[in-house]
Amino acid sequence: MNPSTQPQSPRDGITVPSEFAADLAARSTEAARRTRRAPKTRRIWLATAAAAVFAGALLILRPHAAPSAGPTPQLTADEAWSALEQGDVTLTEDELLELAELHGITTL
Amino acid sequence: MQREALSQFTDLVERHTDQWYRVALRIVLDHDAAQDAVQEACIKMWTHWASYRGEAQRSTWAYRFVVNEALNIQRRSRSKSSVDPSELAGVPDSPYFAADAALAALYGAVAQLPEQQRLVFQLRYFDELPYAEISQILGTSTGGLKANYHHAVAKIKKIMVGLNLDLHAES
Repeated sequence: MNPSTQPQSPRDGITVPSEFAADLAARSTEAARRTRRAPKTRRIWLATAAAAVFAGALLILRPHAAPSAGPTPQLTADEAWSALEQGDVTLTEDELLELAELHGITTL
Repeated sequence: MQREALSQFTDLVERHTDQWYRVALRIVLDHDAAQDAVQEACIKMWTHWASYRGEAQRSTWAYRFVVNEALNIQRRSRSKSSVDPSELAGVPDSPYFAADAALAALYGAVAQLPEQQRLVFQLRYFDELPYAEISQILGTSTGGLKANYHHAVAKIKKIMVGLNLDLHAES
């Protein structure tokens, strides 16, 4: 409703205190914001899953790059994803296809 | 982008919550249920925020969510209640509602109207909205709205005359 159509004085006998309206607005906004976290969570899960696949693939496709001795390096999914996003790691077309085949990925 | 949308959404909610609560209260007639309606409507507004295409003002678009959510709550409540709707007084139960005998009688009369007439009357008489805007909110033609309002006023006048009270609504 545009402001010009707002009644100057409620004809309905309902007078809402500004404190109550502000509180209800805050609660409603917060409830809406909480609801929208679901897609974000899903995106993070997908990114994490993709990064985990990617990290695993690195070890399979480039075994020579893995250290032969000492403790296995702990690469977190976030680190792997960041590395991929920042272009620190690249894969050839063949490696990508092999990775896709390995994990049964047929479509994007 | 998301931050800008959230800022616009928050601004809209803060500017209109007062109005939305009153609209919802007049439909559901209960203070807590009216708050639930506003809150649920806000959740749906935000969920559909990006689908807004500007076919109506954003505030009108939002108003539709509040009306629909209040109607949903009212229908759910009635389906659970064993009380005959015609036996309900139709007067809002809220700490922010204050009415003299005439207004209480008016609410009682409005409660006896069919749903569509009741909605049109409330939006036109209480909120003083133009028919064009009510049409966008309810998705009905303005011709149909005018007919509904006319019938509503006629019925309410008849009821009020029976109560020996007056209603200053245009016909």
